[in-house]
Amino acid sequence: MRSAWTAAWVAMLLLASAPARAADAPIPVRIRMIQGSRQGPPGVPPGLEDLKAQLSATAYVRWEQAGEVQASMVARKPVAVSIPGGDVVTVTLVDARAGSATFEVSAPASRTQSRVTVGRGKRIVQQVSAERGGTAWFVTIKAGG
Amino acid sequence: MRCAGAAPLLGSRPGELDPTEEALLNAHLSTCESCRARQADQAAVAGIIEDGLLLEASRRDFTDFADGVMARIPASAWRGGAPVGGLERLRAFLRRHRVLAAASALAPALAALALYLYIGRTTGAGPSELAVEVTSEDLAAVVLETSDGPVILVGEASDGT
Repeated sequence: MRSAWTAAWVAMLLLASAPARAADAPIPVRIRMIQGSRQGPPGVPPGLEDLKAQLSATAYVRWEQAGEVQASMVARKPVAVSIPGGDVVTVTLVDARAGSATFEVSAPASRTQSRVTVGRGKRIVQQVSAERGGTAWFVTIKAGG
Repeated sequence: MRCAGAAPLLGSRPGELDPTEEALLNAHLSTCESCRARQADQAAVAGIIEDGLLLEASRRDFTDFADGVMARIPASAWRGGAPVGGLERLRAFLRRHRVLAAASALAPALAALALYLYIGRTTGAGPSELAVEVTSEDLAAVVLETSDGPVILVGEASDGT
């Protein structure tokens, strides 16, 4: 009888701590640095095909990937990614749940900060530099690699 | 007062009549032989009934009443001359109903599991969950929502420069 009570309480404690453990568990995140241009022949390289729906929503027609970072992120530990030109963008996983993740992106070059919650399989595309000469830099973030 | 008015008052108990009724009844009884006789009969009957009830009650023997009550309390409810507490009785009940006790022990765990699953389901991914907050010091920010996720653009300076 005592063992049944003990098992019940252990189960309750495990269940109660499950959301906290899920939020603290590292999740793989894929961050890509891409450049969009208004001029030139339209084109999306094969490596960015998965972003086509989002990229085509912008006024930029030509896209190129400049770099990629694959990180195992934990909550509240920022990851810094460099974009050509010397600017640094900071990506922080704020919260991760079973079906969604919240990221904070800080881009000093454009003095822009965002906090975005996306569902599983969704991506964030964020402009991180002001447009110069018809081109601008973006980062794309996808939780789950 | 006539006999018809005095009849309902005959046989009344001491203090039952108000002073006026009592004075009128006494005045009538002092002059009416018939009513005096009727009152004497009623007093005699009341005395016989009272004596009979007392006699009947005295036949019952209550000397073993307390012992009889104590004897009906089960011996398992006593320990060392003192009655067993509620906790002991609860333990005894749980020992006799192990399945019920185990089910009651698991009930909170199952309730917590159900709550956890419910919360997990309601906080699942979905377009309605999309939340975007953008702050920019100089540039105007625009958020485009697409089926694959948000696109955040920063455009011309907020002040139009």
